[in-house]
Amino acid sequence: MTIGHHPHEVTLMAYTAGTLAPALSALVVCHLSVCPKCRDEVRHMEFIGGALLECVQGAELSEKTFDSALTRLAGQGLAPNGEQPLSPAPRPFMRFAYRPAETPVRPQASKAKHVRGALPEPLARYLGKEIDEIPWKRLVEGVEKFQIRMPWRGGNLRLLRVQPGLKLLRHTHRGCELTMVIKGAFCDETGVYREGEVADLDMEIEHTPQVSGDEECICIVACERPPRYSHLGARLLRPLLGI
Amino acid sequence: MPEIEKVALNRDQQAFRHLFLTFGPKVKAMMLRNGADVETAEEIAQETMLAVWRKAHLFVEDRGSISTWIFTIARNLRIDRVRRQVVWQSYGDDFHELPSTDEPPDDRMAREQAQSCVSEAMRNLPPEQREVIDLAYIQGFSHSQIAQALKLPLGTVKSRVRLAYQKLRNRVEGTL
Repeated sequence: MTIGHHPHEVTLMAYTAGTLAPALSALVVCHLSVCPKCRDEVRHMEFIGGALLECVQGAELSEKTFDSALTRLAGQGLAPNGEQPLSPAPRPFMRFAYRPAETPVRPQASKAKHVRGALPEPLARYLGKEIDEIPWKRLVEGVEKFQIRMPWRGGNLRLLRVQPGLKLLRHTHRGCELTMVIKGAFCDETGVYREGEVADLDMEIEHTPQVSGDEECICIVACERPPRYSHLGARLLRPLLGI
Repeated sequence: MPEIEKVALNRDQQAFRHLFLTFGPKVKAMMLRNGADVETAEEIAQETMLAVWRKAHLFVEDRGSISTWIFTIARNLRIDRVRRQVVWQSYGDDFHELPSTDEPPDDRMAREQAQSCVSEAMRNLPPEQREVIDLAYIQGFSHSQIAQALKLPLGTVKSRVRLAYQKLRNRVEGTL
């Protein structure tokens, strides 16, 4: 699979710095799980973060900080000369991690790969479902939605399934919006997006996405805030569409 | 033997103390500029360094850059704090801090050199580019917050960040 459309560098950088809204971060994580190029980019960005940390002029720690750290270690059975207990299996919320293959934790997730039309691995793991188990909710004829509940506030994350030939309303966004195709393809004024690809749009772009080809299109859509439609009529339709 | 290896292999307390006193204050400074109060900044600095103690063996296996590793630990702890304050606190803190192993690790000298190159490139950025990188990475501003703070259009902020990033990235090219 060749991926031509990626999140903007600025989006990846915000992800790396930890400042991207949680919904957008979760989508970036899904993209990273299928995109070696962006993983490489994020690695460079983390490296730059490290260099920045080195440049920072330190702020003096209080005198007791180091001693109380040792006390805490001792209290956790991790005395400075002691053995380390094995860490329990972690349960993160869709963070992509570059794990060594031999890591005992979740070995099934150690190789990022993409099965055609499947949910990206971090999302499938989070939901505990595969794509054919999603309880879709019909919005209008040909359009279905599944709202992904997130453990934190911080944007909106959902799956959208649209039948071939359908066109969504022309709209702009009140913040950033990321859309990742997981099955089929869609196109708009900015290009054609296929499996694994990401459309990274902000409030300066107005678009009319439509399904491309004769296959249904399933996407993950993450935004800071719900979209705003261009016409009054369309705005009135929005509650009905709920997208 | 680098200090982190002494910590990982020998559980060397002196080496740990030295790492603590080198990186702890930097993490604290970063958190203060992120907007944390003194107490929280101090706590995150301490937690970061405790994680360094606990996970040193993972780092040593990977041979990444130590400041990059500490940066990602501190960033994740900060994100967790912010999110915990909202609603949720039930996930573990472990594996996302493992350094990358997508590619076989290069030798450490090359990485350390690249790191100081990036630091130097950072110092040489034009002030307006350095400012946006600093706001994004160190102070934890989103791009729309940067645009608001500097009273600039979002597009301008994005292109400044991109320009600065490309300059920094060129210095790292081929060493990661």
